[in-house]
Amino acid sequence: MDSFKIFVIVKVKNPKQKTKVYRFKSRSFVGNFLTILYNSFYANSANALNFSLTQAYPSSGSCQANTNLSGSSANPWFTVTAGSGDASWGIQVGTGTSAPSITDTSIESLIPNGSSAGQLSYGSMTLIPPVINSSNNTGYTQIQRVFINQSSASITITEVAVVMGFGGTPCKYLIIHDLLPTPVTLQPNGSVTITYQFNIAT
Amino acid sequence: MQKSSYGRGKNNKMRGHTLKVYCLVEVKDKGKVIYSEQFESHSFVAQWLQLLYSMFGLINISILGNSVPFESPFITPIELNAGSGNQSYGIQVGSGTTKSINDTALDTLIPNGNSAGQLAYGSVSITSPTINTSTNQGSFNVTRSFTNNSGGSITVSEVGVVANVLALNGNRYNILITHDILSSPITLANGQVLTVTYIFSIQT
Repeated sequence: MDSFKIFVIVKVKNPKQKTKVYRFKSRSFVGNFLTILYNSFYANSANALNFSLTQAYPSSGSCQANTNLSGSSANPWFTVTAGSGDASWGIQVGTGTSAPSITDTSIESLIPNGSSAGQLSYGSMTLIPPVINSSNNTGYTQIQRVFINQSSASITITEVAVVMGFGGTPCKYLIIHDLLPTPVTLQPNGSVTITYQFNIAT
Repeated sequence: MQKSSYGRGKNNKMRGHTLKVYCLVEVKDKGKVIYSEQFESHSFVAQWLQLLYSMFGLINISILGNSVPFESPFITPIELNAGSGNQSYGIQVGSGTTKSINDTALDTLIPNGNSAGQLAYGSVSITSPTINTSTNQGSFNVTRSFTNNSGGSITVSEVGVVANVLALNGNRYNILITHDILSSPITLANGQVLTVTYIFSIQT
């Protein structure tokens, strides 16, 4: 058993078809996540002030995490709250098929937001508060996003990812990258809900 | 139906892991390692989920075990690097034998000091992440040493990690995030040093 498990739950609704739900274990934290965790743990030290990450967005420029901030100058570290129509962060979907690598900095082939062919309409991110079961010492929290195919053609999703906003400037970093065990095809007006569920068992 | 080449069938079980945390405990006597054990930590507690949830969404959370039950969003770094003699966060050791998902502190903390029943807490050190691109593995270590200068024996049976977090109101809160019970308690004779290392590991 892993110390900290993540499951991906894929719920597919296609017109004139039964809703299908797939669930698989995410295995693909990438190196950026480890670097962010390390620097979070090491805050208030000189090295934490100037560490660098390989950014997903923007692809150039400098991002710096702020440490020891308080009051109105504080900046969030681990946010995923992308809004509707914003495909640059939060949960993303794509059409890539290469096995994820620890050095990945972006999803392989992002499906952009939109309603044209080859695009999906990105909903806003939803967060489910932690659910703690004291009787069996387990708990989880979820992040979730709905993608709707508003184009007139089918779209097949093969990969999913989580891009996190981080630090004092609005930079975003890929932290999780998974291939779907089975690609999901969305027909016109079909939708898919991707849920990342973070689990612990004490 | 189109099939992915990744993560299917039997090979799926062998491919990567989400996030594993290992705990390594070592005892040194006069600089020589006389005991060493490594086990996988299975004991993230509820507050770890609360922290993640809060940071993901900038949402107020209930910080268990604190006098202020709800805190403002924008909780920022989750610091572990406590200095020497600071027992309030970082890696802690204790003499308790029970744990639960709702724990907010060690069962029975062994305090910092050189008197009977106390251990001298060293500073927490954190190694830089190592990323192995050939195996897609990465990890970093969080380490702390505890020296028995008390003149008597002290038995350690539990270990935990406490994060020091800064909230938007400017206050800092100490939040237990992992709690493990040692499979075998370790008795430290006077002069011996216990080193506890938490290893945070990913494999993509």
